[in-house]
Amino acid sequence: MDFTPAIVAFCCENSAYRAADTAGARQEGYPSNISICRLPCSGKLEVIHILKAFEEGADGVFVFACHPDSCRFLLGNVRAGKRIEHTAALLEKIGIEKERLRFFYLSELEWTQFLDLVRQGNESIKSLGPSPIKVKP
Amino acid sequence: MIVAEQKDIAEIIPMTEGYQNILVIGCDTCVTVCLAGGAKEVAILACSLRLAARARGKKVQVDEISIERQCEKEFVDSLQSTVRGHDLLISMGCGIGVQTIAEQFPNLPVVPALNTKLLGLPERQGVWVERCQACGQCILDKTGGICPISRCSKSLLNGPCGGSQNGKCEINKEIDCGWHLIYERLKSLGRLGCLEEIMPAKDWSRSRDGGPRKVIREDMCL
Repeated sequence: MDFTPAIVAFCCENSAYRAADTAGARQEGYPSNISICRLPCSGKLEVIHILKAFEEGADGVFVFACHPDSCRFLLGNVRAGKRIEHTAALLEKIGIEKERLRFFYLSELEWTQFLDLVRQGNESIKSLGPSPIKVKP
Repeated sequence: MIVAEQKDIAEIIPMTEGYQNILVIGCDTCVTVCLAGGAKEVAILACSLRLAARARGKKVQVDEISIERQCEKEFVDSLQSTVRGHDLLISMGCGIGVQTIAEQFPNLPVVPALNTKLLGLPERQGVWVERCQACGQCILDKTGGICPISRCSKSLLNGPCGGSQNGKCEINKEIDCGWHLIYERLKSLGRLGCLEEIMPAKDWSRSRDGGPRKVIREDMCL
């Protein structure tokens, strides 16, 4: 089946968003089906943002936070990590595979890793197929 | 404040089976502060229920609202126009909120999304601890402001018991011995003499043993 997943990537503006920007400036392409959503800090991400992304039709959600001990707001990435864990468990109970939600640590310099992660992530969401929310209207 | 926690979504979903138009109602008071049933949690639960229904191939309307206090009829009454058209109400208030809604809307089923846990305070971020059991006869004046009913595992009035070890309770080493805390507090206040007084058996009829309780202020009754 020819399936192009809709993926939302929530990126901290102090790390992954800059890495994505660098990748773009170097004209290194990443899958166009990935929509980047800029966050002031990964700790700003709430459970409801992830659920809404799925409700609005996302097949996968990626969250990029700064590396441990590198958050400008000290614990934003720790909070994000805990929320992702909580949300993944919730998704599973709702009936959405938790593998559709991915969490990564990244620094602004790691633009090649950003490309690798979104390309690999895109493939893994493709292999999962469309979100069960979309399959059964 | 009243501290509650949300039921597992796997327990809530079956309560909604067979209903098409659901209203999730939050409470902006105690359960908002303890992160269990405020507007934020209402949005998450409503969205979760919509997603769960769609994942099972069903289409369910789940609306959301949060009111100032679910435990007062005047505030619950403000829902009159909002509940119209819904066939199930989910309360994210404490047990009092659920019952107030049930009383105000006798023709609509109401189900609880929370488990009401205790009367207490936030000890630190994400942790709430019990401080009162609403026993109906406060003795905090005699115990240095530390409640033996809620903080002693046995609710002893003349403690500590033999299970107090190094300031901890025998039922769990994580739990402070309430009577040890009382002793230390009275010592620091220079009031250890309070412990010489033997407290008589408590009148538990003022607590739950007397059946459902009621407070009446004649001067305020109209």
